[in-house]
Amino acid sequence: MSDTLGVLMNQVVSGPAEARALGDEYITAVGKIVNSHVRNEAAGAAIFDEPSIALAPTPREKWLACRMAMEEYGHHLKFNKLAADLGVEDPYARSPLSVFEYEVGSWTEYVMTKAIVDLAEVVLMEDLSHCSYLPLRKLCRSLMPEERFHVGFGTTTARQLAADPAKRDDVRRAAHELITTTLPFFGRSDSRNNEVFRRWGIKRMTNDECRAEFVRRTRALLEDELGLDHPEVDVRWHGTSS
Amino acid sequence: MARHFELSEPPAGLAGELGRGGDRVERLLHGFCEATRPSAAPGFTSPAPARPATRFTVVLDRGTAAATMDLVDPGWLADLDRRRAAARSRLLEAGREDQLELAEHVAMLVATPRLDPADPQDAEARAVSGALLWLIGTVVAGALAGGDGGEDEDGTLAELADLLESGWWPIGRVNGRFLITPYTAARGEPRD
Ligand SMILES: [Fe+2]
Ligand SMILES: [Fe+2]
Repeated sequence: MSDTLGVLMNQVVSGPAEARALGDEYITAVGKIVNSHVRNEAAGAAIFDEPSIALAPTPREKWLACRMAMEEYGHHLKFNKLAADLGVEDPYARSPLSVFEYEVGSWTEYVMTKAIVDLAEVVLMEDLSHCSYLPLRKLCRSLMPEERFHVGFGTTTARQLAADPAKRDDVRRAAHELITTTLPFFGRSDSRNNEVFRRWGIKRMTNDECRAEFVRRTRALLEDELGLDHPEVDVRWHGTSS
Repeated sequence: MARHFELSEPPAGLAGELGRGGDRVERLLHGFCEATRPSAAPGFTSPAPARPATRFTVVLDRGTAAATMDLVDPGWLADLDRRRAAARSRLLEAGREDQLELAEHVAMLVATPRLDPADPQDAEARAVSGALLWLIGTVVAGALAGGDGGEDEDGTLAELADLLESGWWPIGRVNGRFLITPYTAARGEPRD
């Protein structure tokens, strides 16, 4: 945890009116976080989940994928409502993060996105479950059971797939690629945005702390659960956008 | 067109906004809401809806209904996928993309929370609710395109819409029979 003392570390901002009273910097900061979730939940549903409904090997899995796609779409709408309430609705200002450039071509790849990309979402939402902006804190807490189910589905199914010699290599390949493409999702190591988020108690963890926590969990998933190697990764990231 | 983030029932004026076939979509969603209305008294479940035509085989307990999901004929699913795709492309060709999007958006907003499993970790209840959502999405596209003819001449999607509207989950074709079950059983509610 960073030693930066957030000005709102132990306070709550109960709604849009209180947030506005704190000034533009707070509104803009909350808006950036909320809008990143507006975009990513929508992109996740449209790019990963919906196409995967057709890839499912059995009716039961098809319908489970359908349910999860609708849950992600519902998450998108809930974040969008938060942005609208706060007057910062700007869902199309930036394209979705790099992880959504990954194309899902098989059921195995879809399963691994639930195990890995949704895990990244869980790490971010756990941090936001202590956010100074109460509506965002409450929303993240309320979505956690569904996100944890998605990760649990991914993990359980990945275990079954990895036990099949014909699928094991595909599981490994997808896992390595997804872990690598997900790392920038947490933002730059020297992000000025993240400093502002922490100062206002919107987030508690630095981008690198979130990334390290994600890697700790993907390592446990691959090495302990699936008996696979973990890719060499750097928990720092100095990419071109923050 | 109005924007909706949360809905507990179809919004007023939906049929008009959806254009041709919109009244069918609205009726379906109202029927679905009625059939999934939470019961007021604990332990009480609404009675199973009246039995439709005898050619359906009715399954009454959730264990059997859920187990039969694995046996559903993939050919039946593929046929519905084709009908859905045909209906969607007909609507897009007719320039009705916004109406299709609104219909799907409203249907999913109304239906998804009503099918939330009581236990968040219950994978079976999630799969059941996914089956219903998938069917609703399919028949909604069919209903909107219905007036334009062609892709559902034998009335397959229309019949599924009737079942869904009156409280039945059409599980699907299994070993030559067509299985249906009331939503209440599908959702694992206790029976009287
Ligand atoms: Fe989500
Ligand atoms: Fe998710």
